[in-house]
Amino acid sequence: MTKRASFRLLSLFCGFILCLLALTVRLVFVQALDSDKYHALAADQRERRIVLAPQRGSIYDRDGSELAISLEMRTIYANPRFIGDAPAAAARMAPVLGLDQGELARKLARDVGFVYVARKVDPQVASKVAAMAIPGVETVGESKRFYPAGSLGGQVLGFVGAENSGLGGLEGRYDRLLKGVAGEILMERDPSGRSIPGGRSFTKPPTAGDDIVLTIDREIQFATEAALARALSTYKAKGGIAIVMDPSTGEVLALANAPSFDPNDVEASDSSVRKNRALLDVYEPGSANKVITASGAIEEGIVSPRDVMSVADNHRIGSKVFHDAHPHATVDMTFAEIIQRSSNVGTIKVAQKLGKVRLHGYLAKFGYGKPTGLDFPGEASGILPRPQTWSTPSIGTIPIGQGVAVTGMQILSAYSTLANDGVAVQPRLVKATIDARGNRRPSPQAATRRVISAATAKVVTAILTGVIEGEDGTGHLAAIPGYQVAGKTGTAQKPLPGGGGYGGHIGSFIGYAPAGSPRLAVAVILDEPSPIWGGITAAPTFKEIMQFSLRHLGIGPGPSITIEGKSAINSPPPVTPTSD
Amino acid sequence: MASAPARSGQLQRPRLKVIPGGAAARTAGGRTPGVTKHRGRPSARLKFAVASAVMVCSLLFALVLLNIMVVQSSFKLADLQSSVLQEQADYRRMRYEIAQAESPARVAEAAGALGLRVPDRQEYIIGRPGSTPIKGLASSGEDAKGDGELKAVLGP
Repeated sequence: MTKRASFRLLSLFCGFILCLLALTVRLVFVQALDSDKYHALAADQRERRIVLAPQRGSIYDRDGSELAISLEMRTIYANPRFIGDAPAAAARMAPVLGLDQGELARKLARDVGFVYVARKVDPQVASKVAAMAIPGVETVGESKRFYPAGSLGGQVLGFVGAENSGLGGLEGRYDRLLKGVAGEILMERDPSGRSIPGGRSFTKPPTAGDDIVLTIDREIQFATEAALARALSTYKAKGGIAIVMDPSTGEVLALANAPSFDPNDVEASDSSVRKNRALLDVYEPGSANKVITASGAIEEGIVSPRDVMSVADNHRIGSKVFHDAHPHATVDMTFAEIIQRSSNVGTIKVAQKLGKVRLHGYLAKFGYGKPTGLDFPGEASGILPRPQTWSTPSIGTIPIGQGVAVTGMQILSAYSTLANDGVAVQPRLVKATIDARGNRRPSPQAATRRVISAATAKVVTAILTGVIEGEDGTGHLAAIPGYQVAGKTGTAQKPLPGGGGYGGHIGSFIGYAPAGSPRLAVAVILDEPSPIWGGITAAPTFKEIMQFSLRHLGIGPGPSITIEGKSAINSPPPVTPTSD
Repeated sequence: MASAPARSGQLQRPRLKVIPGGAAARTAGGRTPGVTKHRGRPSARLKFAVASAVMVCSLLFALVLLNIMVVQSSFKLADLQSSVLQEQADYRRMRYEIAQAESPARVAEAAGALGLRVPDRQEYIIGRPGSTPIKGLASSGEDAKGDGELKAVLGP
């Protein structure tokens, strides 16, 4: 070989070695020094992380009937940039989806990468659209909340937003419990989007939300709402609430607001209608409050039902003159008759003997001025002024239920205390929760506290039966044939929104039955009924609701409680509860 | 016999062998006795190589088969999971339809259409105090109005 040939060979060899060297250096960089970066890039290309939405828990009534349930629906979306002929696509999809063709065509013609065509539609409808195979149009699964009973208990249940988050009511209060925990899938996909068999995959399944079992009885709720709706129509009331409760356990069997709304179509209702007025709105209870005054006076031994008083139809305290509802001559009444006839003057005279400090104390013990503890968002506390802030006439207004304010639930809780032998039981709406594995966890026992003695409660109950049975009782229309009912009417003035006076009235009837062994307590409160009297408007509604509830639960008449004999001045009759 | 001229510097040593029986023995059967030609019997190394190749191929084949089974199982698992989800969704949908059908509003409407109405009165059987209660019936207290007979407790 010549020298020249050798040199060429050597040069070629060196060049080859240099190339190899360069490759090696590059390899070292890629495989060793920058390996993490390229590994991450590759993983990013291959791996797909998909969030798995959890199944939202259902809400049941006390018997296990669904009140709220989530179902899998399909959402149709499109990438307008991939749609060749927007009008043609709209013409095909609009009739199937029930959408306006022109509006849909405009949406599909926009210069954006994503538009919703229709959210959460029935899967059968979505499959029809999918079968059209329109380029750029896809479907994806989305959960939607349904309320099978329609507007039943709408203000209690609340509703959810577009992203299935609870907004208001129990859906909002228990959102964290109901929504569950999202899962995820991590998988390797090829460039076509298909999963690579045997590739790296990791699945964390979603945890479904807990189910909630309410204390609500679906049938009693329906009957209560129907009765309330009829009352609004019959008495031209602006609104109303009705509550049914078991006084011994605090379980709320029905909680109705009128007008109602359908959580399946939230946008069709006004926000003011969606409010649970039974828990959020306060009102001055009027004559229904006399029961608290009576309970305090009897408990303190200031009066007994047979004590006789001279009652005029007006009474002055300071600069203010208080009147009975109807003018009458000065008469002798027993204390029981004062309550049964709802005499303002008689009640105020007894309240003056009780004194503002003790009266305030009993109002507070019966739950005024603080929430009941029912687990509901935004429950109002009511208004109970401190005795130090009472004006001179306050000892006249507050005993007869003006100048204090309560929610419907608070006043019913007070009456339930009487029904439960003087023991207050915290009301509750949730009976139990059921986790994703089916484990049922009952709610903790309701808190109880003694407010007045059992003897006082029985005496007051006996007096309240006279409201319905007594000759001059104001609550005759609440009478239920075969049953003994204890209750009180209320007709209260409504304060003007800006203060400075009163305008309009609230008519109410709150009671419980059977009086000798109370099993149910019901409150009916109507906003501006016509006529204004609770004994004429709320009492018949109470009767309808209570009668249905007693029948539905198979509650018999039970033992009765009576005040024997006619009330007389010289020989007042004893109060003899005939139940054990 | 002529031989190629030796290359410079290269010595070729002919192979010499002792043939028993001399030249006559060599030409008799066309074969040279005592000379064994290794034709038709593979060597140990070849056997080992073939065996190794077969084993490796078998292992590879088994690996491929196993991989196929895993992939098929994963597809089946995915199908089953999808079926389970679908069944669960169908179950929830049926519960929803049942709840709708049982809703009090619908039942009341259907009952009204059939001419049914909520009764105005109720009948109770009130037993004597101390009497054995009949299962399923409400019993009364001391103020029992009845004497064991069925009485209309509630009037119209």
